Amino acid sequence: MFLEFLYKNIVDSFNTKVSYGSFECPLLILQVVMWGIGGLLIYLAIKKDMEPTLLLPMGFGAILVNLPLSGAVGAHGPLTTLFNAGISNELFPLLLFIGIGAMIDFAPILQNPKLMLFGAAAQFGIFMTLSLASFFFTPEEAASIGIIGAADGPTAIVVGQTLLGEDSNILGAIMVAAYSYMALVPIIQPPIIKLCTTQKERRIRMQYKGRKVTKLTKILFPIFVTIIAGLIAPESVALVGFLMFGNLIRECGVLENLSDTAQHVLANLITIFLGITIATKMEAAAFLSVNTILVIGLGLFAFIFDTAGGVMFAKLYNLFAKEKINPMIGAAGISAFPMSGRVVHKMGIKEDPQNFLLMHSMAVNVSGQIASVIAGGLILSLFA
Amino acid sequence: MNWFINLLIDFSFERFLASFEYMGKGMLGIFIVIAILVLGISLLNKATTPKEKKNDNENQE
Repeated sequence: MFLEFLYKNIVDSFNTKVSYGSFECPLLILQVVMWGIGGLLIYLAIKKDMEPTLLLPMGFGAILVNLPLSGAVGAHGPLTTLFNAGISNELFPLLLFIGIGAMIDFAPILQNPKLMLFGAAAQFGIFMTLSLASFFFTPEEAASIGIIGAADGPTAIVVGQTLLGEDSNILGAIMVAAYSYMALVPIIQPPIIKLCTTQKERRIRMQYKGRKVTKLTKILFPIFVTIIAGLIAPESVALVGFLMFGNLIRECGVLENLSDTAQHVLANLITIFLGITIATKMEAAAFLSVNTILVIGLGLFAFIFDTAGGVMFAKLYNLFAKEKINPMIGAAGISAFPMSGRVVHKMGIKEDPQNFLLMHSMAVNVSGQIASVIAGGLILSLFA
Repeated sequence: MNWFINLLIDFSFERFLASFEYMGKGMLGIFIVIAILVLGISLLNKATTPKEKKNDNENQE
């Protein structure tokens, strides 16, 4: 027919069926559902200000890849080309880590290093979720789902891509879950913290002792961390190394331009590419499945157990410590920086307007970034 | 209901039990690495903090 070329794609998409057991659904219907999901991500990014730097590109990308016979994906599609160039080889998230490392000031944990232990404890959710996911998924898939609990997008992408490869149909769900839950930290954490603590514990005051950290310490720290983490978990060298390289650029004092570029131009450029390219894993037939629902649900468990793990470790610490700490700061060990630190600080103020936990919670929050990257490296060492 | 049946078919208690080994190794590994980092940072702080000048003490005497 004369105008057939205008609607042929739509008809073909409607005639293509996706099988869910004995039930078959036209692909077009599923693609329309994905438009709705893409729209929801865009709405959350703009209206609710939830991780807009990533949810908006992901949301729009979800619409792009789910248009019938979309030219954005496929052998010559630009999104597929970008995916092969930067995500299937883990390059984009590692480059983003340079920018993240350049943004982070590790002085709070250098002043009080023992707070790093709470960052370690708050990675408990990763392994608890790995165990739960093992009921339904292979060990590699379970590990990739568990790493959602690292609350760190680049780490989740690197681990997921390495363990699962680009053909996995849960990679998209893992990435969406990782970034979405990071944005939901202010909603997820407070009820869990309250459940794990008493009011008396939440009111424990902590003194801030601002010790001076020398410039030499700040310069040696990233080198030291890279060497130690790399010796113990060689698979973590890329993750830890790029993060610490960014930090070294920041702290050395002689590369102001590079530090500025890493923090702003590089980070923003990679974020644009990363966000929209992740959407190549959100094609309807692969994304809309029972596995996606399971991954999204398990991702929530990861964040819950992260929070609980950090708080409970802090409570355990208090059993033996002379100087008690406020156990809420354990929850800040989740790597959602700086949101988690601010959530804990706000909860502290709410309980006691004179209790300023910000420096302590930020120190734990920053240590969570390191601990999550180390966790990612260990997962790769155990499973790759 | 087929999706539920498929879910049950894939359900594996053996894999769940086997995962505890990874949980143990993973958490232990993180704590060991972090403990080494804590010790290292403490040593770095001590090594790089300038010592109090002896002249100050001599002047006070």
